[in-house]
Amino acid sequence: MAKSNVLKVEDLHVSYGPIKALRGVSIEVNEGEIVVLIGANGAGKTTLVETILGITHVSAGRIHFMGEDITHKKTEHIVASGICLIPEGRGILPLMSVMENLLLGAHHFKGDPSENLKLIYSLFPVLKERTNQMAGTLSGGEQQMLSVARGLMSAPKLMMLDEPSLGLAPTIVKELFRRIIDLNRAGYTILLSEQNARQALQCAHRGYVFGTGEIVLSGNAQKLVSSSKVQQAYLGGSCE
Amino acid sequence: MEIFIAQLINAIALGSIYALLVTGFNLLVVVGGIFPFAYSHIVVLSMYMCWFAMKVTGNSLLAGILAGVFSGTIFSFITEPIFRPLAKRQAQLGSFIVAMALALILTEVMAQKLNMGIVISIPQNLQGKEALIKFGAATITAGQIATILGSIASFLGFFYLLYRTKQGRAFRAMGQSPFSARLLGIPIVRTRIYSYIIAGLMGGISAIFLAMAIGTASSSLGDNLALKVMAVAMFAGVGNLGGGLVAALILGLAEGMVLAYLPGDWSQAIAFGMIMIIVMIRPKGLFGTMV
Amino acid sequence: MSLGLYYYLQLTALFIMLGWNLYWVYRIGQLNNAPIAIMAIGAYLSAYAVLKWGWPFPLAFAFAVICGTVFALIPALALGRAPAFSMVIATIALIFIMQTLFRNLPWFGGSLGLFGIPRIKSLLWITYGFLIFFGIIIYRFDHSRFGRAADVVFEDRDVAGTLGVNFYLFSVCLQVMTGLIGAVVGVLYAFTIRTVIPVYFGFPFLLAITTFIFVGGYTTMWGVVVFTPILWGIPLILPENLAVFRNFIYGALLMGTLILRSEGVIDRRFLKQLSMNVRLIFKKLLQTKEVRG
Repeated sequence: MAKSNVLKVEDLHVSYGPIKALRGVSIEVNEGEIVVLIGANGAGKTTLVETILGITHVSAGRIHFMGEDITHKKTEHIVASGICLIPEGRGILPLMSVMENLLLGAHHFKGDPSENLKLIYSLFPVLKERTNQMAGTLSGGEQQMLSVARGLMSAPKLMMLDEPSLGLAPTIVKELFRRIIDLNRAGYTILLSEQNARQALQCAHRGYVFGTGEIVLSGNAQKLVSSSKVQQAYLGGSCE
Repeated sequence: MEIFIAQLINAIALGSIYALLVTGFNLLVVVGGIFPFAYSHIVVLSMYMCWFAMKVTGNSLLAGILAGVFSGTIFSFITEPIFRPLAKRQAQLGSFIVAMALALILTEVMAQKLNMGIVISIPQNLQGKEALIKFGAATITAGQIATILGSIASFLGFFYLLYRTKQGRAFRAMGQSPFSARLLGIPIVRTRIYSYIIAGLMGGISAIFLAMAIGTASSSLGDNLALKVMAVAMFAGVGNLGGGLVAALILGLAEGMVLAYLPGDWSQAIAFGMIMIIVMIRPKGLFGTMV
Repeated sequence: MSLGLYYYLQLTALFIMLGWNLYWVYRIGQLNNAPIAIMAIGAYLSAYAVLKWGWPFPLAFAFAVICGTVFALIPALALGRAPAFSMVIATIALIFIMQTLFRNLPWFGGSLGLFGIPRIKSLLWITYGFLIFFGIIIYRFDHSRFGRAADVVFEDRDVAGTLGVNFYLFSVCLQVMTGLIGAVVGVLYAFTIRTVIPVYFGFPFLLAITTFIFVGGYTTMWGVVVFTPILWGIPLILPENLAVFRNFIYGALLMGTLILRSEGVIDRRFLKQLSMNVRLIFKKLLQTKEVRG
């Protein structure tokens, strides 16, 4: 079954001044997949997702989304065409209420956001409970939920999550990955960047392994999990 | 006793004007991302435009009001591109200096080109000095009532915009975290432009009320106002919208009462003294800052 | 020498010193406008001492400078830790307060100020003596560990703190030093122009000096030196109707520089390239000399 291509990154080069953050990175995400980026801190995963969203300038290479070239487009257009990023550290607005954060997620949504709100509330009843609370007073796990829910409000064609498990308790992390799988089953295409390599690969279809700005390994997620190279470098011992 | 109440009303009117100015100022700080030292100068320029419009239309009240309000909005809008590269770089000190330069240019324009530098005098019918309410020896003028009611209406409108509309949410999001706002796809440059327009609108409205309250304008009014607006903003904490409002009313009251009993120059000195003291004791302002 | 040239040379030197004042404290990231307020103190007090008390110039000079420097301690101690904004605004407020004070206190002649200040012989030499003296101090500062510390502080105050820099002390010292220079400039200014009016020490003046620094370049002391004579001098030789636009031009230049070339014309890279080129030229000259000789 040929899946349509949602995201195609070709030979991307990104620099921060004299520092080369990405050197010739190419990845692909197809419809209905969960694709995982794993690798150490600073290897370039965050740079990649931020560049896809148009936040960082591209020195060379191309980014295609749903067939359209979005390489040098502005963030607001990229978000409007259907990509959302749930950033590392949640990126919610602590001084605004849960409901307002959600409404902000629908900023580009054409149409009545209240339908989306209903759907969100049914998926995440906790958020409905706390709908008027200030987002800053939520627990870490709830904030992560809010962040994901906010992304969903725009009915995105591609959801990118940057290190969603960061700072969360292990039981919450398990729950988080379950939710990600649920969302995927509901039809969302997901690009996930994670340091928590084992759990991320276990729920994904395919994966890319990052090492200092380059892709060093890629392929089927289950094969990557069992690959000895990956196990040594990224899955470590029982710390995971 | 009645005199006291009349002066109190006057002070409240003055405070409302400061509150409008501070709110526009804070909006530019929080969303525009700059330190708008020249904001008050644009307001005074709008007063000149109002005077000019009334002059050429035979004292038409409508022309004056429209000219003032539109000038404020348009002038503010025009200055946005100047500050854009600085806001992008988040160079706040740089934007402050640029604003100082702009303020000087505007002051020079008013001092040399407009009305050949002579102080302008607002026509009587706009000044609204007719007494509407009389009690005992004191009167409350139409101008004061218009100012207070108009300010209240403006604030209601502004806070409605800020807390109940999509654009208002975008403003607040940008004010709290430009990065998160960007991720949400909020158009950064366009939102900044809107904030300049709204701030300019409030400035234009303030210009009309100022014309009513003061009755004259000169090229030095810009610096005078700018310092007072900054005093209030710093007193409350720059960027703090609610705190700014309260602090503005306090300044208005203080100044109104002081003006009733001391010569004019001292009210300026008091405002400056306030700034210095606040800055020395609590550099972040009395109510904390959002910036 | 002609009066015009005398004024030009005098005022250029004085403005360079004022520019250095702002430059020096800005080295640690604080834009401190107090020297202009202190300048007013220096000018008024020295003029008053000579005119009303009949003091000789050196005595009046010392008196005014001491008073000014001591006064400078007040904002220095209070603002030492202030964030950049607070300092700019508070010192601008200080300038206005000083103007208001001198305009309203009964002894200083109100808006008309003090006039008829006597001539001082060799004022030019005295002024340039101070110029060179302070120039050397600032040069030595820039090329010492203090200068390097200032560079770190400019980038990040707290990081510098972890490296052992006592920001408060640094700031207070610099503010007092610049206060002293400001007072000196004030005295010399009063005896150059021989009148002292409140309007001299106000906002447009502040903006002119700010323009000289930021257009010239605030990362080195030479920006002020090169650009003050140019920016101050050119309006003096322009015809009357153009000269009136002086403040416009300053404002426009200031805005343009901050937007387009934010570090000013003469920045450190410029100086490096300049010194490399100069050395290259020297080398070539010596080579040709050897060949010939």
